[in-house]
Amino acid sequence: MYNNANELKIICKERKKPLCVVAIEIESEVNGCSIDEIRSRFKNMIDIMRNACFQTLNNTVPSISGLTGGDAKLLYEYAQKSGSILSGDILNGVAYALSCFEVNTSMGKIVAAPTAGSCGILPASLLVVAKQINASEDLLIDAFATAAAVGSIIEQNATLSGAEGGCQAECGSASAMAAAAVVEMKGGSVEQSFDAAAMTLKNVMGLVCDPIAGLVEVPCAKRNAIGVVNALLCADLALAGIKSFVPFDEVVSAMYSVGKSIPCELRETGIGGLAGTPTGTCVRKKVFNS
Amino acid sequence: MHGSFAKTFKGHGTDRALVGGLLGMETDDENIAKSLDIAKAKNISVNFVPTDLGNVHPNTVKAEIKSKSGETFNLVASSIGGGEIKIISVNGMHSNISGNYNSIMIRHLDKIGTINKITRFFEIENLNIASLCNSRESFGENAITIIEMDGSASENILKKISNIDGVLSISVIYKI
Repeated sequence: MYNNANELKIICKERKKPLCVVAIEIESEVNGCSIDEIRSRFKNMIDIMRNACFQTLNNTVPSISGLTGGDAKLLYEYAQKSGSILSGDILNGVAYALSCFEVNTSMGKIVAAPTAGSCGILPASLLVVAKQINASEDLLIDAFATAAAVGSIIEQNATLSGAEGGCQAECGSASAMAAAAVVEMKGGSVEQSFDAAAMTLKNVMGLVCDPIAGLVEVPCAKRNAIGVVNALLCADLALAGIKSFVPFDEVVSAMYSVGKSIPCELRETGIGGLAGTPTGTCVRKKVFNS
Repeated sequence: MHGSFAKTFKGHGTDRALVGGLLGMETDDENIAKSLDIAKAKNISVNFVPTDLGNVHPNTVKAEIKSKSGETFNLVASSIGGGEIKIISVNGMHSNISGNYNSIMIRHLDKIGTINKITRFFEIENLNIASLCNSRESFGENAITIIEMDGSASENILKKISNIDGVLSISVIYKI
């Protein structure tokens, strides 16, 4: 068992194994189930994620509230044309995240990774890199395990809940999980995985959770979009050899402290921030008559 | 509904999720989206009341459940993110159910030696206890013991525990 990134790094060194292998071994030791069982559980979740990432790329599925929907399709079509600013690969990834998110807002099946409000970031980031390097299903499962380990460290030492720590705790954590996983997929070291994860969390430190009308729609979908870019950017920074000045464990602890000092109006109560704008309050009235 | 739940339960679908759970649905059941209608069709009435439960996690709910015959039961639980939950109180008594282990919840009278009698059967069945939480209303009154275990409790052990003097009921809570 490990309580933080430092301990996990030491176990990796002792066992002379990569993060993903150690993560699965420890998961198996703690839960008393076989490595095959864990891998097949992860595989099921990856299948659900993949379906959600492709589901609304070519058709518009409105959210339950009727407020949003159709953005994944717009971006996916745009990404296929030339002339976009970011590369088509990256934009496809963002479209996957939006699609996954639209499945969530229409009450379809997604995997909370780590939460429903941040469900698009991890699968989209993994799928972008998987496509780029033509990754096997096994490599995707490995990446999923690394992401899970990073998520569990954040959960043990801080929070993954927007109500407790703001959006930084949800979308920030999702990006950190994704960044560490894709670094490993690309052959990066354990150190580089945690550098990438630390940098993603640093980039959104203090980000508030201010959902309009309390719906997990606005601005959550777009924060999933930036979450993918944040993860992939920080993965590239780490793979380029850039280190996080502050180590991951300290960043996690700082994120928790910042989260606790965010006023409750900005922690998933649908009161402050964008929820409190004239547009936000008007939408609340329209949706809930309250 | 407390804290963030009180403010956002409709928008977050917390209402549907809670009712889905009460109806016994798994987290990947696509019927969760329709759980409120399904409950209605089964003549189960549900009310969501915003409240302040004090110094607890912002995503906390207190469920007060009443059966047709008038029996009541309540529990307080928090959704702590990452798909994790904690049941922090059952019928007003402290609890520690995480859903990460198979657990049993034993309602019994607060009597000397009861926990010893219960745990003895775990030893006999070679079943390891991962955590044990015991709490009571007051001296000699209703008490509750919640045991999280590695593995799962057999019919045999459940029967033996239910025969212990002072044990009122046992509920099995399966690992999520």
